[in-house]
Amino acid sequence: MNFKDSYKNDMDKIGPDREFIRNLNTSLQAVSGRPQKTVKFFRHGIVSAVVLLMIFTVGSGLALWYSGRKSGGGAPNLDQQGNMESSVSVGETVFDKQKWFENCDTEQDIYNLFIRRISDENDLVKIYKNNEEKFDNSMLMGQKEIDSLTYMLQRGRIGDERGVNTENIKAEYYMAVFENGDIIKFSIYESNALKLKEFDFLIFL
Amino acid sequence: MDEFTQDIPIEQLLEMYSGTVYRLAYSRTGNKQDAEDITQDVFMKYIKSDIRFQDEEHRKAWLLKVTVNTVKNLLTSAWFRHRGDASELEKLEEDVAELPEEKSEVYYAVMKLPLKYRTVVHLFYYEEYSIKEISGILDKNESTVKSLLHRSRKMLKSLLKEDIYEF
Repeated sequence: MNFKDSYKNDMDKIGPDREFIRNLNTSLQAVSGRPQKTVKFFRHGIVSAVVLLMIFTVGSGLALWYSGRKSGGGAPNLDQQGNMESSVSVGETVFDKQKWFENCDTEQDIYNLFIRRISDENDLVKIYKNNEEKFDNSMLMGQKEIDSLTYMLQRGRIGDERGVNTENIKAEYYMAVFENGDIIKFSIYESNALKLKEFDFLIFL
Repeated sequence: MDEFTQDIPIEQLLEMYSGTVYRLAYSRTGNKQDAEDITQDVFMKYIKSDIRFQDEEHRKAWLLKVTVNTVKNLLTSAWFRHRGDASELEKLEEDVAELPEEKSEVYYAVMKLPLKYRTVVHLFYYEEYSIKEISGILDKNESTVKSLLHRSRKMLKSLLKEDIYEF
């Protein structure tokens, strides 16, 4: 028997709870929003003046931009259907960050958005791939592989199955990372069915 | 598109490395609560640090090194020593109620090793680092790491009793 395989097999079963990670994510986001360096004092008057001027300029610019986005009386920005516009404004914090699919009404909308984003080289940053649902030692997909994947995904159609037990089916797991920090995780089963992590519907390829 | 990215989103950071940090912390502390505390401390340090990484391997090694040091600080803290746990700092008894199910005798044998041996075993066999890389993470010279690994194997063979495991 191989010691390494036995030990790895046992340690693979150990990992942090999802809830712990969610809470940790929230705490880290809060901390990372604070300035990491404190400027204690300025040594030279010129440096002080330049910094103050920059702060004033940026602050004025932001105030002008922000006031320009509001349509009087602090009312939210609405589109023609009366839905909230999805762009993030200056006043929002990381806690208000929308899920990537929040503005989708149907499963088809979700899938269409997913395809659009994954096919957009200005939006997609990278995709990790692994044969298990963890990505710390996963493979980074090359461009050709991503192109093949997106080509395959274009043909997908939403299936009728819901909440299918996919535990014993072999799958490849993917984690796509986007420019705005969004992460979309999905898996492709050997039956050529794709499942987005947050949803229970399957897409057949 | 496969270039190294210095600043990665927190969610991605946790997806990539929370398991790695947690497992090392768990292998050193033997319990979930301490492993979670350590994991949180490590990522807080990451967020607050100014370090620039050369590549992804450098980032991972930094996280592991900080994990090792954070556990060391916890174990030597006055609070921890008076927590009323095991008599020796380096031999921690696991909380039996927290033992994950279906573990092999290999896991239990490793957890019985003194801390410094357990860490080398974890980094060598699970994280698959070389002796040289482990010496960098643990700030020990290579001959020390080799010796620790050699002694670990001897102890494990004795703990596992049957000579059926290939190292």
